Amino acid sequence: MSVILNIADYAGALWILIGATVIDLTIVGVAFKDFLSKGEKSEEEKKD
Amino acid sequence: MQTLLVYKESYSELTKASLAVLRNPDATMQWYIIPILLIFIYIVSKELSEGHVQAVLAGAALWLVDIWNEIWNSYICAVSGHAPVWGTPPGSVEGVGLAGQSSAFDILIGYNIEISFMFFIMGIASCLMLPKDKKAKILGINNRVFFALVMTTLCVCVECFLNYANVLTWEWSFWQRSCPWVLWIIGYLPFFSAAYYTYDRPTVKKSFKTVGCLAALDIVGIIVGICLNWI
Repeated sequence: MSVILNIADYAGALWILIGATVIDLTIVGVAFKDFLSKGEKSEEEKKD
Repeated sequence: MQTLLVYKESYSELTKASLAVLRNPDATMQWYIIPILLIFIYIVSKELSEGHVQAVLAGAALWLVDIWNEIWNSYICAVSGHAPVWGTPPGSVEGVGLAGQSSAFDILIGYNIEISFMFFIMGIASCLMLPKDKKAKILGINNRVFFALVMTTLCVCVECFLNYANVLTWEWSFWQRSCPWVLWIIGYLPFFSAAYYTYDRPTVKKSFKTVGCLAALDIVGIIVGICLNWI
C-alpha cells in the first residue's frame, strides 16, 4: 500500500526525529525518576 | 482555512489526500463532533466538581505531549517532502484501498479532532484508575510505572489495529507494525509518564506548572511550524 522509505535518506527529517525523541525520552526520564525515587515507602511497607 | 504545509509533488498519495482536507471544515465537518464535545465538557466538569483537579491537569498533560508529537510529525512531513510518520488521510483515497471513514476535522497532518478529544479523556481516565498510594507496588514494581507500561502496551495494540484497518497510515520503515517498540517508546510512554507525573505533583500549583511547561513547548513548536510553513 505504501511506499516504504528509510528516514536516513532524509537528513533534515532524521535530525527532527532525533531531537523529538530526546525531548520525549526526557519527559519519561523526569517522570520515572520521580516514580522510582528512593527513601519513600508505600503505605503497606510503612505498616510492615 | 488555508493549509500552511506547502504542496510538493514528492509527497505520497496518502499525504496529498490528507493535505486536501487539512484544516478544511467545509469538506469534512460532521455533526457527531458536537455531542463528543459535550461529552468531553461533561467529563471535565464532573471531575472538577468532584475535586479531581489534578486528574484533569493530567489529562491536559497527556494531550499536550501528544500535540508535541503531532507537531514534529508535521515537521517530518514538510522537511522530508515524503510523508508524516503517521497520517490520518480521508477515506476512499484512490488506489490505496482505504476504508471510507473520515475525520470531522483534521487539525494537523496526522492529528484530527477525534484524536484530540480521545487523548484528553484518556489522560483523565488513566489517572482515575491509579491506586491512591503512589508508592504502592504491583508485581514488585511501582504502580505508576506498572500502569504506564500496561497502558502504553494497550494503546500500541489499538494503534496497530487502526493501522491494520487503514485509518491510521504509516509510511516510514521504522514506524511499522513490525517494530512496535518504536511506537511504544516514542509514541505512548511519554504520554502516560507526563500524565502520571502531573497527577502526582505535591500541589495543584505544581501540576499547573508542569502543564504550563508542556504548553510552552507546544506553543514554541507551533510558532516555529507556522513561521517555516511546516505545519
